Amino acid sequence: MSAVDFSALAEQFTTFYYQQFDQDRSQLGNLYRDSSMLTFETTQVQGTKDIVEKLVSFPFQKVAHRISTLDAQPGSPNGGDVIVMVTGDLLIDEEQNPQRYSQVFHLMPDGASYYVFNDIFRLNYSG
Amino acid sequence: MSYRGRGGRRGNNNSNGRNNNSNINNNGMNQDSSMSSMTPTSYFSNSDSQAMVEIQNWQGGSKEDLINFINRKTKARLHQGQVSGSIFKANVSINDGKVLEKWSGVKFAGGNLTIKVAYPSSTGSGFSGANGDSSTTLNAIQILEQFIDSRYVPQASLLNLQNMKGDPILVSNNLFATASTSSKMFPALMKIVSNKGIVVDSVDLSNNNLQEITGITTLSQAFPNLKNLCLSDNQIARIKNLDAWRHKFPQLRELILVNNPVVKEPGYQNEILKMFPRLVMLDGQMVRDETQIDNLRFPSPISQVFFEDDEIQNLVLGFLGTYFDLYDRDRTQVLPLYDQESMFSLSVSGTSPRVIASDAINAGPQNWSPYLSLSRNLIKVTTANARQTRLFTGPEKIHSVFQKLPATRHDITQSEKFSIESWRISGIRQPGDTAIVIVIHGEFNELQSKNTLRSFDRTFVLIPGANGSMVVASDMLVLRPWSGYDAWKNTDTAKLQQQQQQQEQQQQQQQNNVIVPGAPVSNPGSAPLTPQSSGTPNNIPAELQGLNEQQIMIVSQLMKETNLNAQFSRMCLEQCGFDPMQALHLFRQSSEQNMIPPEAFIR
Repeated sequence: MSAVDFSALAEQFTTFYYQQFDQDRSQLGNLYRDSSMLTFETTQVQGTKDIVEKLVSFPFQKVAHRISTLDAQPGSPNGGDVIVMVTGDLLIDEEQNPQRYSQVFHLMPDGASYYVFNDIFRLNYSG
Repeated sequence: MSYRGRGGRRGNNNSNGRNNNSNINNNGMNQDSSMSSMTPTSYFSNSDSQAMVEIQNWQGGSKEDLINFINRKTKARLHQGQVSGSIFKANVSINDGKVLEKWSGVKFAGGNLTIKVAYPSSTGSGFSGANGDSSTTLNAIQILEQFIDSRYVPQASLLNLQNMKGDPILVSNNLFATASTSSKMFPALMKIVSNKGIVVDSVDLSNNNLQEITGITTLSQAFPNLKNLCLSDNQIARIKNLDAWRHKFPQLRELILVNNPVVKEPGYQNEILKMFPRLVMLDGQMVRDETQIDNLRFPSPISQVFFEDDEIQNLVLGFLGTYFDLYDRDRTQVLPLYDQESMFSLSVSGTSPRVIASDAINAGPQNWSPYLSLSRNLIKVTTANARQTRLFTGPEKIHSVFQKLPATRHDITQSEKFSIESWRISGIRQPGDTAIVIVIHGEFNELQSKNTLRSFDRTFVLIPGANGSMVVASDMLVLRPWSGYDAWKNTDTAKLQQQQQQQEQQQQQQQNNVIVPGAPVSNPGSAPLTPQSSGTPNNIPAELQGLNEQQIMIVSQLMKETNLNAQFSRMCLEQCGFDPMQALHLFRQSSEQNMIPPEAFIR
């Protein structure tokens, strides 16, 4: 078992990620690397630059994420990577009915910090 | 089925360093270190000037560390060092052996080494002695070798050890003369046989009057990859009498315990299945269908670049088909896919309101109680202890949680109801190995008195196991109220349209790729309902302007079921206060009376 508390890491990561996303998603770039891939619904983009471009291109002005479930497992006993699985609500602009989404992050250690190796986002509609 | 592999068409982009290691993978992967006891290095065939050392309790460090340490501390030189189970074995000279013996108990990597030295002739007190007398020692080894030769059937890779107390060789040499000699005999026998380098797939220990396995536990060290074991006609009374072998034979396929009192113990079969996760036959009965599991092979090597996506797609779809078939029929059948380090956890999202079900789909009552005590939703479960205990690790714990979950049916033949993504990574358990991550979204029926439909998201991490088998290293399940599959069911159609639009209007490409809030694409003939950059859904078809998200959803549902177009579906629903059941009723009534004009239907 990894020495890292992967559950606490998952909480910290998702809190930070969604806060940053909701405030200013153009600043999320340093969570990705050039090997990172974002699968957003049916499209896939790879690399920090393209991923940030993709995130910024979303047509909404205001967005808020609300997590319903969060779970995490160490990806490997020794490797230190962590798989984070989230479901939650997405409140977009003035829309009152939230979108339901599910998202999987595969986090890889990189020195003292972590980066998002894979990011898989799916809308589930009003689940 | 919407399927996306990481990288899609851009196979070259998969070369992000970590993915290109499969050549390295295959070394080490197929090489099971425990198999080394099978390699034909027989200490006894070596010259008499060699002694054999066995070191235990060294596993705080690596094998290389140990060899360096021994060399530095004792100046003894180890030859042909190899690892067998938890034991490190090597040949040494007689003199070095005598030196080494004195170092037993020395501290190494956080533990105290146990060092035993066995000598080939009358030079010392090895492990084999019945009474320490050197001539007896030699004789005992020779007798046991003779006995093994008489009992080994090479054509069948069978070691027939039945009724040893009636064996003329052992009896005539008084090996059963005292309790002391008989209790030492089996461990000695095991050491000798594992050093002979013979291939043993099957061991027959029937009719030995065994009450428990204390005297024969070393069988699992000698043959960790044993496939068949017969223990019939003994006196083994309790399952706990077999505890020393729990998870010790990861490849054991068949076990026979007939004519032992233990077979009458309640829960016998279930408990045995937990102990031996790959067991297929128990007492002559098939307890698992191994053909399906065996068909799940981890590809080796995983081919690179261009064909990679197809190969992984086939693998992933094959895995999911087999997995859910077995999982739904009898969850003990999937246990062979989980090993000691495998993890499973689930989390429940019971709070979201579900889609209003039409009469065609009865989503049933939402009762989450069977799941809640198992849920590891980190938002709700905050104590370290609960987080720890709800992360189920190893086949035994995973088995017990699978038994607690209500029976299910995942109909993945209805491929439009599932969405799958997968990608490859390396280094999950060992540096350089390749793993496949699968994320699947879909639905299942809960088979209780009344069918309940639920949605789920599940993440699997697959890694290669011994001999190309497949291991589920991680399994994470999220359960949600049923929310349908509109979100992805028309992905292919949407994609095609998107591509056409891209060709025509490259400028709009970005906007067409984006998130689709609220508006499911339910009608293959209609364009995807994509919002424009203002964020307000003002590109929703004119017929549906002014409706809220929920209402659009219901309209889509009705369009799907009746083939009415958007305008008439909306009209129909507005007359019924957006009650889908009532609207469907009204539609049928009007249809029977031929009151619906042809232009009301989708062309």
